Amino acid sequence: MRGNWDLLLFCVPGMVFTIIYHYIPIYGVQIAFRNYKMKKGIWGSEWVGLKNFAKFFNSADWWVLVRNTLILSLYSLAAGFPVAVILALMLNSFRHKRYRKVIQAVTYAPNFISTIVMCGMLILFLSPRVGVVNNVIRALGGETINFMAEISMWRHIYVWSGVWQGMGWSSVIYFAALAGVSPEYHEAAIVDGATKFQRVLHIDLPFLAPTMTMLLIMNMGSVLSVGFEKAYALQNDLNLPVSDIIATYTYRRGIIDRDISYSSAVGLMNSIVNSILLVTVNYITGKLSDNALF
Amino acid sequence: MKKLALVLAALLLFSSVSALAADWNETGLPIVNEPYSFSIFLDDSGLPEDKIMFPIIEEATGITIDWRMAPYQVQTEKLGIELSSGDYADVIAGWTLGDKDLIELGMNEQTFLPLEDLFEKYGPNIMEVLEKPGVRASMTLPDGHIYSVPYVVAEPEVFYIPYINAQWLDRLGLELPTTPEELKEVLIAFRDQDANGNGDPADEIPFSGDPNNLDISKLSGWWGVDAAGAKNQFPYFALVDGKLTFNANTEGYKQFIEYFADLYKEGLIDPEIFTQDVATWSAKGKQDLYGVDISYGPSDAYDDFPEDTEEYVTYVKNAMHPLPVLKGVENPVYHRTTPGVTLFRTQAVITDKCDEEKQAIITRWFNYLYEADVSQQTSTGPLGICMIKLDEGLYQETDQSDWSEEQKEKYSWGNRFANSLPRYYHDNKVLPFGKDEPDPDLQNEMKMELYGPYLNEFFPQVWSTSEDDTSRAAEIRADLESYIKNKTAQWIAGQADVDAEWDAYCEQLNAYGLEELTEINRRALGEAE
Amino acid sequence: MELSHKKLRRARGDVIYDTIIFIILTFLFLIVAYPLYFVIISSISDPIEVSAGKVVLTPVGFTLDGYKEVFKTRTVVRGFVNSLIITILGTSINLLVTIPTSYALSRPDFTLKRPITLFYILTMFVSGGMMPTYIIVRSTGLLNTWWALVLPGCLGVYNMIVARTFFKTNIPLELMEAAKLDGCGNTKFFIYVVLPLSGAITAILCLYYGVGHWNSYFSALIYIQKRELWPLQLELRNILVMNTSVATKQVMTEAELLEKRRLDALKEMMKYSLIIISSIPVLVIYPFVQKHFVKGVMIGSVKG
Repeated sequence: MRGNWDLLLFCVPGMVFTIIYHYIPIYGVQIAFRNYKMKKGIWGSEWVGLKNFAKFFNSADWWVLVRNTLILSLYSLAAGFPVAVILALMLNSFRHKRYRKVIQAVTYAPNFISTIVMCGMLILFLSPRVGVVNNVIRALGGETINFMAEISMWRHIYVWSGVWQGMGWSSVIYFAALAGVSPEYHEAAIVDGATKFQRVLHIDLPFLAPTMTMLLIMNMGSVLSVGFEKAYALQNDLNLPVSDIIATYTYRRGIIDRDISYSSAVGLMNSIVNSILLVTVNYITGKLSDNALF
Repeated sequence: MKKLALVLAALLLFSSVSALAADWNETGLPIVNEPYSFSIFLDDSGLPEDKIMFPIIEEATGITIDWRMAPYQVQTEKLGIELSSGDYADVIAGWTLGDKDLIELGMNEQTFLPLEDLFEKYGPNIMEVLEKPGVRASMTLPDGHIYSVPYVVAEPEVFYIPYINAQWLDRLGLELPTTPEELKEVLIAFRDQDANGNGDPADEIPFSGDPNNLDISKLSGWWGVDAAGAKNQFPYFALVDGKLTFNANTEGYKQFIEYFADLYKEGLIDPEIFTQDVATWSAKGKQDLYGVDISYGPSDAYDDFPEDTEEYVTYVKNAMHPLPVLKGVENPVYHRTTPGVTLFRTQAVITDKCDEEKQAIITRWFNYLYEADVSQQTSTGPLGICMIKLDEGLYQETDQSDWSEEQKEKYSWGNRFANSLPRYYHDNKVLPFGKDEPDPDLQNEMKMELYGPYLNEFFPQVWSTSEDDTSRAAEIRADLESYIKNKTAQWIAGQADVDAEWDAYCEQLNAYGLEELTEINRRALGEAE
Repeated sequence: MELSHKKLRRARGDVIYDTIIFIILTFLFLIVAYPLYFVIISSISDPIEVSAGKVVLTPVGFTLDGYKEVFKTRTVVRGFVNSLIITILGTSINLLVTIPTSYALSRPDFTLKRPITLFYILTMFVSGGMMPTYIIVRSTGLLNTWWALVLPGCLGVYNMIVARTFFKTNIPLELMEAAKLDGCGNTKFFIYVVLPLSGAITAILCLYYGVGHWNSYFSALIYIQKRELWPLQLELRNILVMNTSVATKQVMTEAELLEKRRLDALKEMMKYSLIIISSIPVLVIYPFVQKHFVKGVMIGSVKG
């Protein structure tokens, strides 16, 4: 270490800010165990132990929230994962390099659209009277569908718009990995008379298997932490039974209803569960390959 | 050293004392004699720099207000954050506060301060409002204090009603329906025939409604039960024979749902009725697509035609007529929204961020706002530009017909003042330019003729006394109301079957705590009497 | 004979495969491109035509009113400028903090690298929550300033890991050792050797962090009370996503209703143009950085 004290200095500013704004506030986790009143501050508020946690499990809501959250993430995973892999495989075996670059450039782009703009677009496109989707449906002779009102449609809208937005970006990892396939394999296969399709199926796909496994497992680790922004933006009175997830519930209770303690408790539980999942998943990944995060 | 310390201490004391005492006046204008400022948090969709009356009021009072404005939905979020963190403004005003907040943060925690003494000392105009019948009683919380500035407006007794397109009735040779069954016939005719005369028999939307306050549950009154969910102190409750009764689980309510579900199934109801936004609803209205439309005024869905034009006559007088209260049963009722005057009692509060002097100055500022001239200008526009004063309480609009677009926008209604702040109009009369008489309130007249006899009893505004009651009521209501609204929409839209689910629905209402809520509400009413 | 028979079969199977994926890829391309294209042409079309569904492949009723309306709306313009400043400020700080840290953590001979990495990884597991963080932000005087949006979370853990892996694979140890022999210290080496080689990772970090700042609104919602300081996404949220600008118990006089309708109509006209304008900075930077993507992601996640 003697010679490397300046490397430590490289790390110091980041650490200082992280300590101030991330580690120090951890003392506030106790809000979940108190009955927080603004005037009394955190330390002055009455200690109530597990009352807030009990309130959550006793309410009618908790199962609905967990169910909604799980369904959204598992569905998103089941939909997006194969699409990303297949897209990468197709792009990789595509002959026209220039056209491929165009396709890649375009499919990566939606990833950078903000959640708000994305939801704004969705609301506009799916509007019953004036939205382009319904205009097309009507032009084809069909009936107007009121997408945002249908409980049965909401999850599909959420997931598939997510796939639309992310498929290009998610495929990059696989595409990059495929660059590592040794050309000798393909050459040998061609000599043996394999078609392109067979080559993709038996060389490329298995080559991706470790990457796929690793990513799949890692995604499982964040299965209960669906972000609140998109769900909140697409929520309305009619779709609440399916659109209310843990994160939006925590937000509503904390900010709109000002029940800070309760919302902290729910948030804390969510974090704990997520952490356990992440550690477990990372452990498994570590055992299976060398690709653990830490 | 000691001497130095003493001198420093004295200096400190002196400077802090003189900083505390501002140079202000207990009566008259300006209110302050040196630069002074306080902050107001409120919801408004415009910007402070666009408000014409702000500089005028600032000039007169000498006070610069630190405006914290943002649109309503964002402010409800910000209010939660600010109140939870303790970083709120000196005054919180607008539509974001509710009764529950006044009880919790006013009476219980004294985050909002009691104001009745301040009104007595510094707010004669405000006292005038308090002296109006019933106001002081409604404004006073159970601990005997008043925590907000009273905002009283004359209002119609009935708000949103269904209007029916009389031109369409004429064109198809139909009679005004008097029962729900007759209405259904008429709606079918609207749906199938070319009612709006444009050659296309399929584009008519027989039944729709303004998304603002679309409370279709109100129409259960046609079957004798008033289950209004909005603009109701106790949503889904009504006074029946003097007793507070819950109506969203009655036979009448079920009939109402069955009827509308049937209409929806037959394609007689706008499929977007529960999800459209105002722009969509208005766009369709402009194309003359509505047979029956629930709205505040008859021409709301249409373009805003000036009153003496042919279009106005066509639409207001000849086209959209109030639909009579339909007789689903012998004695239908309709929800009464106000007894003629409405009191908004959570319009502005003073927070504990203000010391006594600031509280006094703020009271004086509101008092100034409550002057007849000032309040009127905040609504009609500045004197000399948008209106002139003819006499005490009598004003007349100026000739604005040759104004440029920019001028019109600069002085448009939204840019005159922050409209969520309370005012007091003193029974002022405002004459349109070139007229001697104010316009008769045609809309109200039409409505009252048809609806007057059926309006139900109004219950007085009350406060729930105990904190437990209030918070428990709020909890139950949150679950109950969203459930009822949800199920009603689902049943009507055919997503679920009301027959199959009715019993489960009634049970679920009980599971949410309906009985307890009824008790709490009855207690609140009982104690007010 | 047999060989040419095989060759024929292979060519045909391949041709079919190639055709199929060509079709599928084109289909996917259209699915992604069309909505974006649609937004563009709608933004220059007459809003009534757009609502009526007349706009499909080309603009109808060409008009720039939507854009004019956006530029006239002071809140939007101000939000745009604010977001530009916040993004530049924020990304600069991000880079200043992340690159040196990641480099240090990439050095195998840095004895503190494990604890420090752990220090950062732990932040993914535990967090104090909104209120305590707010209290700290307030007590450090950052409330109502853009520093509150930029200092907390100035080092993104995922981004740091990507950068760390970049340095691990791109700065060979031998280079470092050779430099050491020449008497070059860590800092000098970092400035004169590492940084010039870091073009790709800097570009990628700029994109990740930059887009992150540009697209975010939640911190601003919580920490900023003055509307003059709002970032663009908060204003966008009002117009694109939040539909009620009016409280339900509000007194709806005739005048108020008219005003509300006027405001709503204006909003409608702007929506498509607003989407385009708010995406411009990202669209501008995107092509420049795009070529580094594959490389960047590859080094970031998959080892050799």
